[in-house]
Amino acid sequence: MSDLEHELRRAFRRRAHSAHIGPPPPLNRSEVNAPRRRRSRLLPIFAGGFALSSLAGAFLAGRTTAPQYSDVAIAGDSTGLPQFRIVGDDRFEPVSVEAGTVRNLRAADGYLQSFGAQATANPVSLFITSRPSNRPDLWSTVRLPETPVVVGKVTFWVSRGPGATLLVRWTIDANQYRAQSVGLSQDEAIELASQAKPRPVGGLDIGTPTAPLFPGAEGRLTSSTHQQRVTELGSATGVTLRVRTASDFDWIVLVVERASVTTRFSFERLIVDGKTGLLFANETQATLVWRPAPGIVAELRAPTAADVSTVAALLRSN
Amino acid sequence: MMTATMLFVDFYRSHWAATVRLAHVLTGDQSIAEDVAQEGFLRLHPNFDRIENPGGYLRSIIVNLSNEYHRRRARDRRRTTRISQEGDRARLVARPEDVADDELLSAVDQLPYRQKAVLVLRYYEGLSEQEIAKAMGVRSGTVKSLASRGLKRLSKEVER
Repeated sequence: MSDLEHELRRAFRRRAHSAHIGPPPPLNRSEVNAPRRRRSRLLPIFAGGFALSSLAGAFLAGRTTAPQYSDVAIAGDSTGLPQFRIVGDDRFEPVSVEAGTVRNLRAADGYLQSFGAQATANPVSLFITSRPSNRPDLWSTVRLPETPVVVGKVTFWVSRGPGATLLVRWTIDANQYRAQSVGLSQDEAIELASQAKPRPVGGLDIGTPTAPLFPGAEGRLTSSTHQQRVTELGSATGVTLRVRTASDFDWIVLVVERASVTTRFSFERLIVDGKTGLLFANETQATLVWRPAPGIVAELRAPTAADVSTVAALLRSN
Repeated sequence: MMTATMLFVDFYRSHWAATVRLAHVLTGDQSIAEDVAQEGFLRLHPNFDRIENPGGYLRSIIVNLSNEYHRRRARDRRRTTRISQEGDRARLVARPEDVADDELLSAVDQLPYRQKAVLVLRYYEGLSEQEIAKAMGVRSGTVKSLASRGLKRLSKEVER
């Protein structure tokens, strides 16, 4: 073997071992257990994406300016082609978007677009938010998938009509998520399009007006035995905190941020879908999503190592 | 008895790090490597229990996916090259052999992807020509030729 070959071997090995590789991210159970089928990742979410139309009335929510959301807007221009741009906090831009690479495939009666968000560690949830061009005040949001994805891509499809604006929002945590366009072959796109019969977003029946995120004064606190603490976190008058999770974690983390409310570290035990969870609030990060009915859905994420140590310290101090 | 899912989970856990490393050597970017690895496992999963050699199959997927990333991100990389080079310069205070490695890797990254992939599979993975041919879906003669051209080009770069 020549010197060069030796050097190559050493250089490759060094590059390989320069990566700081943690344990593999947990498998997304729904992905693994999904019935075998072609394009298994696309079809169910595809259906979910088009549920944007039918579910819009049921899942209305507003926008948030909370900094942990990075917003990607796909706005139609005069050519009908999408423009991919960051409209929210741009701190995450470098890792998140391939500008101009969004697929825009013309379907029989609308446009199809696909996006993927790839989670490499903590669960990621996507919020597809859209509004009709003639009612910019009405935003409808659908959370996809129902179960946060721990590993792998979340891919969803939406239909949109000319002039409609589509926002894709996803939870961000320390650059662990990246969004990317997902390529499909023309055949796949046509097949999916023929199955889905997309409706233009502009034609959506939006239903009741959107409730703002962090409405503050709305709702009642009913479930917590530690009303005061949650009240401090959530609202001046209290809220119904309904935590929805399919998490397998022994405890969950709810991180709340609200600029106008003084928050502090606090934790509560909650009954989460029959499981005992730990509510943990931190003023430096936030993810809390409200839905007008039947209550508030708290956006959850898996505890990080830092959370574990912080909570452990809190537990010890108590 | 282990179900296919359990076997897959087991395989996933035991092959995760090595898969990320291979993708890292091929792409030169850890976050891309993790994406490639995840995508690779996702593509492997539906066929997992039908494949005789899932490790080899996964390797092929990783090589192909890395190629896709190369092509898709070529433009972005060109844009960020300047930053990377600054980063490389910052590392010049490192050990001389590390500097040499960086320069060599930088030259490897400039190779056409197939030449690079052959060199990685041969010198990092330690595969035979036949195994490389299988992983890349080419003939053995092509592997030999790609390796030869890659090494020749690298030699010239290193001599400069």
